[in-house]
Amino acid sequence: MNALARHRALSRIWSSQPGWRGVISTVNHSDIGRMFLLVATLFFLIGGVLAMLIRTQLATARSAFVAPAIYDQIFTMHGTVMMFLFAIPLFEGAAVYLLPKLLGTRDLAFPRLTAYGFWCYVFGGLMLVFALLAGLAPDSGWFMYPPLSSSAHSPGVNADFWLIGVTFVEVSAIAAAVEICVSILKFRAPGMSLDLMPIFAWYALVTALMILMGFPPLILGSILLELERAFGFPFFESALGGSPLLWQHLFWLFGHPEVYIIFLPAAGVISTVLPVMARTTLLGYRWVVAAAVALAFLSFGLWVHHMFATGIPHMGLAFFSAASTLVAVPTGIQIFAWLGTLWKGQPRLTLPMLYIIGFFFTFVIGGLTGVMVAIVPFDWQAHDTAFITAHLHYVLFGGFVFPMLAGLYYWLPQLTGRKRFFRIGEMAFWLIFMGFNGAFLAMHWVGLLGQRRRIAWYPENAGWTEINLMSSISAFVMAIGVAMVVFDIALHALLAIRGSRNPWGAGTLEWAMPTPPAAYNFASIPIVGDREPLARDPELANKIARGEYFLGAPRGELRETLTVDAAGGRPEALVIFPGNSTLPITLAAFTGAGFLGALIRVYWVIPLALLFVVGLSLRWGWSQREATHTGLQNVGRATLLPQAIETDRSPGWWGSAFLLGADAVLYGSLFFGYAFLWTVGPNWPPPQWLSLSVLELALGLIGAAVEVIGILLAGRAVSRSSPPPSLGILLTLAGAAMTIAALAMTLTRAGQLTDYAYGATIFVMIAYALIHAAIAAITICSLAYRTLRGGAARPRTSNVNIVRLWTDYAAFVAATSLIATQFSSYLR
Amino acid sequence: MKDVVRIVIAMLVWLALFSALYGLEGVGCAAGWQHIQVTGATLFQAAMTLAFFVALLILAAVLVGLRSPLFRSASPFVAHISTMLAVAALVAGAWTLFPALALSHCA
Repeated sequence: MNALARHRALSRIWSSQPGWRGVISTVNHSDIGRMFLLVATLFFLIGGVLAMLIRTQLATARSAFVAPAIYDQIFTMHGTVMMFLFAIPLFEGAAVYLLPKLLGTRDLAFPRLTAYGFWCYVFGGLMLVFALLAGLAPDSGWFMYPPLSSSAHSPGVNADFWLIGVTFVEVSAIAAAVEICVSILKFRAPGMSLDLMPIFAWYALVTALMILMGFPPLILGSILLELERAFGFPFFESALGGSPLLWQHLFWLFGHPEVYIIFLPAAGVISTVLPVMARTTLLGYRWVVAAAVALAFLSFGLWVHHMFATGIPHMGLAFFSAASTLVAVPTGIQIFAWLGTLWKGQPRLTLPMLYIIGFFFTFVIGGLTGVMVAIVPFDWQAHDTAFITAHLHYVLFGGFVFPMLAGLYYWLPQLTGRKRFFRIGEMAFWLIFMGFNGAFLAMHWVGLLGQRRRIAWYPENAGWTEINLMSSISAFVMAIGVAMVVFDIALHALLAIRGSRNPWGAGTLEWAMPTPPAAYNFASIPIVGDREPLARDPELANKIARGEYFLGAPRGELRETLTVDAAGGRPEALVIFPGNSTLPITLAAFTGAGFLGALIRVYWVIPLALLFVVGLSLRWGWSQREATHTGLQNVGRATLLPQAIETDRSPGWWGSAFLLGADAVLYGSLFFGYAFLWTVGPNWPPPQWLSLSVLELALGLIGAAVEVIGILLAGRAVSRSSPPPSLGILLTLAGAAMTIAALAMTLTRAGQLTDYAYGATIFVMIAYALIHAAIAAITICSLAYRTLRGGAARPRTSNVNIVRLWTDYAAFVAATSLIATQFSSYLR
Repeated sequence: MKDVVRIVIAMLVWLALFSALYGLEGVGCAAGWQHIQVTGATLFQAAMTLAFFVALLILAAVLVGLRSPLFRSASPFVAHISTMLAVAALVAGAWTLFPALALSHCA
């Protein structure tokens, strides 16, 4: 088969359908990545328009441009849109589009999950946009602090739009994070060991792990606040044993790592683009990787620095102040690594380089003001002033938007296959750079003069008018710059001439393919022996096209790729991907219907939607193609590999493990909330405790043990191929039934849920365990069905191992929840 | 997977210890340990001081463990990164938990 015939065959197999059907049914990462980037850009423009409205309002003293109630919606939506609908999805889009190309594979680990996540993002975003257009947008600030956001002070649906819409969008973030982790660890080109991974992949991996650890506390907080608003569960009401500070803890457990979740991918872009622009390699690769990992973890120890003004004891303040200053060290290591890279190379002043210089200037200022506000006495002075607004914009715009614009112009020829012709981008850069610094440098100043954040107007005699006017004019200059970037990109995509394949002379694999890239990325999956394989072997692209590496001979209509072992990059298994499908968009629509039911408080919709979600999820699991192909498969280069589904740990196992990791963080956050109210919450202890029931406890603990033993036996039976795993499955089912019965009995005794936070917390903990017991039961039923059907559908080792993850976790949760609640009266 | 664990374990332990000491401070203050005298110091001071040194000991043990032949990665890259991060975790522990020695009260 020659290169052209191979290209045609692979294109037929991997392409999406033409027209609008392709849009709703594509599962291809390049398509979905582009769609993510486009939608995130649209939200950036919406957020930008809202920013201009804010600056118009503040341009003059006693402004009557918009009423305070509308202004509250505008600044709340500006923060919400930029954080949840622009920054995170833009990273997801970039990662979805780039990672398989950088890693030398054909798609991400779970193509349908990529599509599902995208559609959840779109539907959740539309929910918030509708709220904005209907004048029902959230108006309590992007942090939604109770009691301001509680039903007593925000009685409309505005806050509900935030809580439900943002949670829906977070489903997308969790899906993308699972996808990215598994793809980076398992779906790489053979030979690409961890030390040979492109630096962007390291940053994406760290960021995805942070999303899995950082988002669950906010999801939990949103659920609790919505339960309080809808049903009166008083988690955040001091008079009834709750505490508004609990929300702040849960929110900032997410909110501070969020800053680094936004910065780290941008740092990944800098670490990728800057060495190419300097015509050298990244200085201190290992130090940069270690700094990124350290930064990620340290960022989880900073959350209380947003709460310095809440009356926390001095020792607590000192812990978090110390951690906040320490975070500057790994950031500094990266900055110096980049400066060193420039020093050892031969930098060229291209457009991406201009944006990188803009990044250095703004981000370093943002970092330094960050160290200032890490010091408690200064923070008390600057708290809730425009100084903080200026600081966070220097960090986020400087640390995210500038690098992402550098990345956009760097990868634009890869995305479009065209050569940059129009020079509008350079002019746009200077407008953005000057406008940004004019707007936000002035905001530091006015903040130090005492202007508070989020105020709708200020008096003429405050002395802030001229500074605010200068800031507003500069902001509009920046907006013109952004509009010029959009115009430049549109002109480029429509009118620019065809360009060469690797215009920057880069060494990473995304340039070893025709541009714009084909749907399958690589005609054969290359073998990698260097961090910059294309620089080492300039003939690599041609060899890939000639099918000289793995999977160079397409088989039937199968979308095939390889998995490797996580550390060494040795080929491990063959993966057959699903084809185009409308299942992801349908599942996202039903997921959205459930969220919508909660929003409009038509609660019967939720179980109905849940039923469809479960049904479609089961169908999703059943429609795998591997079942008909068994045994060792020839993947080329005289190599035989098993199918991933026939290995102990298939990609599905890895995906479940990461998802359960995020789930465990949510459960841990719930325990934290329980312990927080217990020790710090005002008006504790509760008037009535849950009494110990030996029957419930014994039934639950024995059931959990039986569940664990049963699935262990089922696993052994499947790995030995005989006898069928019926006994193990029956035992697991019996164990699940026992735990469900025990949890249901405890749930009915949780007490008056609206009377006190204690009862409401017990209810949520037990309900959480009950939901997981039900999920475990469904997965066991699916295993039982496979066993009954036999043949190609029979359970494989990977099926049992995946179910085992879920049942073991459900058993753990049931046991710990029962112990924590049943013994609570003895711990008073 | 083991190599990924080697890379993240030290900072994960730091995070757990950091949270644990912050939690201990909350529990101690809520339980009134600052009012209980134990051989010239308060129970709160004694508990926080002990916790500080135990935390450092654990972080040092992680560093030693990652350098030992038993747990050291076969990959020089992973071994190097995990050592760097274990040192970082130890330094982070000493720096961020130092207030446990310097500010032993609940004000």
